[in-house]
Amino acid sequence: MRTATLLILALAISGCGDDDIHSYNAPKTPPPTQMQTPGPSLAATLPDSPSDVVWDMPDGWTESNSDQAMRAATFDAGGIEVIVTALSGPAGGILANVNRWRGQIGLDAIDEASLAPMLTHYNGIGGDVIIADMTGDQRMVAAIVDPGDGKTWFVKATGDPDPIGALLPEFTLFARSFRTEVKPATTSSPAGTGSEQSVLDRLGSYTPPDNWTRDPNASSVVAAAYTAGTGARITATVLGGQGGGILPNINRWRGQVGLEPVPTLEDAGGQDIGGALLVNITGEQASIVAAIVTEGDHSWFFKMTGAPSEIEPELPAFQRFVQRVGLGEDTP
Amino acid sequence: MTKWLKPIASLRFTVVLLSLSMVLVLAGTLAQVNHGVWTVVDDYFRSPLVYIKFQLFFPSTIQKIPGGILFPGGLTLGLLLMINLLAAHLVRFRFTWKRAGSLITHFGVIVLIIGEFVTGVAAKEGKMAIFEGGSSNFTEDNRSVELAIIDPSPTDHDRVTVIPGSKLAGARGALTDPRLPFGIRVEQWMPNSQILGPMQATPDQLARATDGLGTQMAATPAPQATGVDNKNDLPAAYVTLLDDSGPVGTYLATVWFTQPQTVTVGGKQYYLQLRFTRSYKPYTIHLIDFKHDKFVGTEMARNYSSLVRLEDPSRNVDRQVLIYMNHPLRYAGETFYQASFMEGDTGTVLQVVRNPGWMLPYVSCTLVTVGMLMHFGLRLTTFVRRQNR
Repeated sequence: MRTATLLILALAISGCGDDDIHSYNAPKTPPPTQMQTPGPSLAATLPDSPSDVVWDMPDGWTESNSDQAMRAATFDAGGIEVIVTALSGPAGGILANVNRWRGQIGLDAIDEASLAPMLTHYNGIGGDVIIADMTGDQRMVAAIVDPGDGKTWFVKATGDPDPIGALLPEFTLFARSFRTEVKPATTSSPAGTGSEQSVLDRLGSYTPPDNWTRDPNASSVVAAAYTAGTGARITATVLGGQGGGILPNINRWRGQVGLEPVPTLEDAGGQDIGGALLVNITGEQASIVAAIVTEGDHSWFFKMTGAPSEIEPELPAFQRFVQRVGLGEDTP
Repeated sequence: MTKWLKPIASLRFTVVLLSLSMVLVLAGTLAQVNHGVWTVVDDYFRSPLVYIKFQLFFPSTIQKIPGGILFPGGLTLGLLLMINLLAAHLVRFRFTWKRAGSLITHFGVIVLIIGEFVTGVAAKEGKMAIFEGGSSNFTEDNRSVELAIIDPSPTDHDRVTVIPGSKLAGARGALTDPRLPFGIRVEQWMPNSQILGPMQATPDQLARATDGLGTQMAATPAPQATGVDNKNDLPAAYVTLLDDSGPVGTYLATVWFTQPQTVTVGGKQYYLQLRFTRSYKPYTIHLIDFKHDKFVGTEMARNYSSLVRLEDPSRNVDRQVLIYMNHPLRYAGETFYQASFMEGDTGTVLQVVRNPGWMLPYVSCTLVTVGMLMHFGLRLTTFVRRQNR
C-alpha cells in the first residue's frame, strides 16, 4: 500500500509544470517595428565570425564571367556550365531546393520520405556536402554545401546524362573543396611582443639549445632549420599573408602524418601559448608540432617534425623557441 | 510486514530492474537518432512509462517493423530501484561495523537517485541574451516555446497571457480560456520549421495566412533536430484568431520572427508572438561590455567575457561582475555562465541555471567513495590479519 502511495505521489509530482495557459504582468515592451529580420532570437552555438569562402578549381576548368547578380561564380567545365550561388541561412531547406531543381528539369516534386534516398552525403574540407543527382528532360547534379560561414552554397551543373556523369567525380571534389578562409590578421604585430624587433631579427640573434644543430641550407622561405639531437627537425618558415590559410595548412600537415582532415579549426585542437596557436598533430609513424604567428602582412610557421619519440623530448625547447623568436617573450 | 517486504527486497528483483534499466538506456540512446536529446530525456528517463517502437532497433532503410512495447520509464525504474534498496535494508538490516561501508555506499546511491529526481522536477534552465548597452530581466528556454498575447494598454506594464507550445501542439478545435482576450484555433503546428522568403514561397503557401507577416513569408515543416546534430527546433504555427463573431484572421507565428506582430481583435490592439519560453526575474542585468578575444592571426576563439551590472532592488544589490568562461556568476540560487554571443560581437548570451539538486551528485559520489573505501579497507585488514595468524 505504502509503495502504491509513493508511486502515485511521484507520478503526481512529475506531472506538475507550467503546462497551462497563464497570465502575468511584464515590463513594457517597445512596439514592434515594421522591419523584421527572420532569424531565431537566440544564437544556438558559439560561431566564429564569418570568413570568406574559397574553393579549389579542378584542372581544365575555366572561370567565366557572369553578370547574373545571384551568381557567386560560373565555370566552364569542358563545355558544361557549373554555377555557384550562395544564399544566407538554410535558404529554404534541402527539400524546397531539390523540388525547385526538379521542376527545372521537368520532374514532379517529391516529399520528405522520398528525398533521403536520392541524396549522397560527403564530408567536405569546410563542412557537410550533400549532392543530388536527378535526371528528367536533362540530367542535373547539384551540391548543397555548408562551409560554416552562415550561408548555404549551391553548386549546379545541367546537361546531357553522359557528359554530366563523366563530370560527376570532378564536380564532387570541387564541391568538397569549399571552405572558409580565415581573414587576414588585423594586428601588425603578435600580441605580447612588446618589442620593435621583427621575428627575423630575433631569429638572427637566437641561440638554440645545445642539442640543436643549425642546418646551413636555409632559404628566403625557410628562414632557419635545426636538427635536434633526438632526430626531430625544426624549421621556421615565413610566407606571405596567411600562407594559404591556417586550417588548410593544419589539414595538409594532418595528411602528411596520415590523419583525416578536420572540418573546423576548433576540431584541430590547439593550445594558446601567449597569443600564438600551437597544434600538436600526432600520427602513428610521424608527428608534427606547429605554431603559427602572424606578423604584419606575412605569417611565420614554426614546425617540428619527426617520429613521436623524437618529438616528445623536444617539446619544451620548441615551445621556448616559439615564445622567444615568434612572440619575443623573454623566456629563460 | 517482513513477509510482505521480502519479495520487494529480493536480489532477483534488483537484477530484473537493472536489466530493464539497461534496455531503457539502449533504447533512449538509439532514440536520439531521430529525436532531440531533451525530448528523449523527458520521454524515456523522466517519464513513468514509455512506448518503445521496435523500429528503433533496426534501420528503417533495411526493414520496416511495426509495433512496439509499453516499457517502464526512468522514473518508474528509479523509484522501484530505490524502494528495492530500502526494502532490502529494512528486511536484512543489522548494523555491524563490517557492514558500515556497504550501508554508506547504498545511502550514496539513494542520494544519487534523489538528486536526479530533484533535477528532473525542479531544475530550470534558460538563456539571457543582452546587447551591449542593453539590459534584460528574463531568460528564454530554447527547448520550449510559448505563444504570447500581449496587451499593451496598461500604462506602466504589459499584460501578458501565454499558451505553452505543448498546448498548441495538441490543440483540437478552438482554444478558449477566460484569461485569453480572444479565441485561438491552431490550423497547423510545426515542431520545427523552415522559413521561405517572398521569392521562395509559392502563392499557395503565402495564402495560408490572411494577415500579418505570413502573407510575405511562409513556413514549412522541417524534420525535428535530433540528439546527434546539436541544433534547436524552430517551431512555427498558423493560428486563426477568433472573436465573438468568428474568425478575425489567420497569422503565421514563428520563432523565426524576432519581433511580435500587431493584431487587432474587437477594436483593440494586441501583440502576438511565438517565442522561446520566457521567465521573468526580479533583477535586471545590464551588459556594459562584451569581449571576444581570438588567437592572434586566426578567427579561433580564445576567451569570451561579459562585464555586467547586476541590479536587484528587492535585495538592495547594485554591483559590477565580470562573467567569463569557467567563471560564472552565482546569484540568488542561479548560476550565470558565459554561453554564447550575438552576431558581430554586439552582445552576449548567458546561460542561467537554477538547480536546487546540483550538490547531490557530489554528495553521492563522496558517500559512495567513502563507503567503498571503508568496505574494502575492512576486508583487506581482515584478510591481512588472517594471513598473519
